[in-house]
Amino acid sequence: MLFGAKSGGYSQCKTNLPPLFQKFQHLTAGFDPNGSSHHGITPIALVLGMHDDRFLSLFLRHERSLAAFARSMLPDWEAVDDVIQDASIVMWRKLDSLERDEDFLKWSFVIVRMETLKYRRGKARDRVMLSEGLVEKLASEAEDDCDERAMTFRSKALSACLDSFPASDQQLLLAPYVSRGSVTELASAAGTSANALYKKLGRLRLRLHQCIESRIRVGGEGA
Amino acid sequence: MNVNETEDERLLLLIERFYLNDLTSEELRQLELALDGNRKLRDRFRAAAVIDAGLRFRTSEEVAEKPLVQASVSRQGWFRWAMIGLAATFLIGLLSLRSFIGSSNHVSPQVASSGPTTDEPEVSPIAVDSLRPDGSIAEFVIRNELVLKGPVTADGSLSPGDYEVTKGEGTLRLNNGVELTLQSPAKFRLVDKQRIEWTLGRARAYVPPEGHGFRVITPQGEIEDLGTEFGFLVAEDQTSEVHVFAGEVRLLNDGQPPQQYQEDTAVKLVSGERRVLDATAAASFVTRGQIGFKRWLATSRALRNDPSAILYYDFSPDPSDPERLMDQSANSLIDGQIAGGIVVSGRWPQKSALLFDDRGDRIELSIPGQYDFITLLAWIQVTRFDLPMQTLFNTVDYDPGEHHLNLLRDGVMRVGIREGYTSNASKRPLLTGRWTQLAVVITPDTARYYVDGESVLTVVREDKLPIVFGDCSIGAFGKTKVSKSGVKTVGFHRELRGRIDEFAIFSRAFTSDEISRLFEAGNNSGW
Repeated sequence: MLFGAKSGGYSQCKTNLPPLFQKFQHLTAGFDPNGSSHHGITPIALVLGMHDDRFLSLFLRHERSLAAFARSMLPDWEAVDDVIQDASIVMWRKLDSLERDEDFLKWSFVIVRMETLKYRRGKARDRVMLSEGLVEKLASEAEDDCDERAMTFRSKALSACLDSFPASDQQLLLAPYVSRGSVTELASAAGTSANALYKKLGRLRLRLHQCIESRIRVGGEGA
Repeated sequence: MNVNETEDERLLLLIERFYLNDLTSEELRQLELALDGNRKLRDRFRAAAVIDAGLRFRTSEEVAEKPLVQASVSRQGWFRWAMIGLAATFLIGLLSLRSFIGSSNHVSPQVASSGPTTDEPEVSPIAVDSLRPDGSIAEFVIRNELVLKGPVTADGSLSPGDYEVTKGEGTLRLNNGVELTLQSPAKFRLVDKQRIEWTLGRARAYVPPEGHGFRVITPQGEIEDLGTEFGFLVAEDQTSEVHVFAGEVRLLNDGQPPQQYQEDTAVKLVSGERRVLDATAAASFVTRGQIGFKRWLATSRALRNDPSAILYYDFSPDPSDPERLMDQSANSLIDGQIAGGIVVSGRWPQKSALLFDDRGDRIELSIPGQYDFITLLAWIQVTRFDLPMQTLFNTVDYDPGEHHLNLLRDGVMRVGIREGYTSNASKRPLLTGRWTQLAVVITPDTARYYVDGESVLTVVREDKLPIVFGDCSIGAFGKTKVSKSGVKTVGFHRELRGRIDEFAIFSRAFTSDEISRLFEAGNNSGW
């Protein structure tokens, strides 16, 4: 068998894109990354249209709310990442069915809910999860209460409250999201056990919650 | 603080610990009960989710502010890219969108269902006679056509109680790490994680240090482990035997002093008497590995008979033609030509494989036709990454619509379709020395890549080209050079160093669940 008789394999189609661009290279197939693009338009713009523009804008505006919604129904962030990724592809493909941008959050909640239920059914044997009945209840109530302004306000209150905490408490509050071992490392550095630190973390989160509720109440009265 | 306030605080703490993944299953049930009947608590639960998301995004923002080279690669990567997108230009924002699509772990079910699929057969179901809520002390880590009667919990775990194996075989792992590989027929009572009463049948016990002192109680006496691997059986006439394969056991039976027996000793217990047998009968006690091989074999038969199978190689040698790799699919049309490689053992001692360890070692094949849906499955064990790029399966010419599957030096899959995309599945590089399942599922909309049943890359296809193959090679890939005198020679610049023992291509899109089940069925972990 003669190799490369026509094209020589990969060697003629490889690109020299910088790493960030290489990550999305599959979307830029067909343009020459080393040469100039047609009519001076950025190559990325050639392959992305208004559809993407609209979706990106809506998704980025609401991704935190979507993630929170999914988190309330799923056992951990790994599962949330999987579900949001799947849901985002569905949203992207079905965006044309959304008439008004104002309805995006509610519309996307339904998609996330469906993807969550699918994920749960696929993983039910492997993971400890809340019951499907409870998840349905939580989802329905979240969809009913879906209020973009309230969520934005809660996010701002969170930032303000977090900033008001001592730096060491902020570090502990954020540690579980930095890496799996972060809390253990902090515990080791502080000469205490991870269990003890998790207890402290639970109490700190309660204080954070109280601070946020307090700010929301004050904000509500002010309005 | 009154009792109710204390209870409220406990529930609020449970909510926070839920989001910290710090709940026991019992605490989760308590929280679930409380949430189910209390709307206010559910509101609080959802509010806590918003805070949890806020904290996580805050972390992402802080990471995004640091130089990119310092950002750790993790499953949260797309979140971080998205946050970079928020803070940077719209162009970068567009890239952020693509980052989570491009690095998606799973194709959306809508996309996945766009291709024709077939119903999957149930893999070795356990017959559940009754369910118990909790308190399980053991679970089956591998099973083959096992039918078990007894108090199995909803998730397939075993609680203390009486059990009967009426069909099949499996390995039961107790909470202390003790593994019992048993086969039908068998009857036993799980007393606790240190004791089991065995009334019928045979099993092989492997006892790690954590399980030392584990006891098997037979009608004729007790076998106490002293750090070992042993087989035991109780016959219909209630006589018992113990076969010590490694380490030491102690026998305790009425009317006789305890006696220790060491490696390579077998003893029969009849009416309270101990009779030392001539030899152990290791072969009559099934091992976990043997069960794994049988389970794979059953799955393999189903795969080769799948109507969508384009080709299926199990790498069993053809005695009549050592250079032929037989296509075992029902269609049996695409035999491979073995051009180098050595026949060795595969995932199990009973299974053969080809070892590629020399220059140009490969299998050549030619696949006609064009396809909208493709699934490619392979099991390989890479021994070394010698070159910048090694090839698992490439078409020779790489014409439009042809797919390439290579491995970079760091074990990352580098894949692409000519005039479609090129991408790296960097989420999960392959490790040397480890049998690994690779799978590729291509539809007109997406291409999904899996390592060991886990989705590691999803590419949204814009090209829509039908997939074509033509002349292909598994293993070494190179270029043909023509000398001035017209002599053609092939220079191999991509090689594969390792074993391969299963390779198949289908003309339908397998679901993620199918890929995952096939991984479970083909995984050779365990002895």
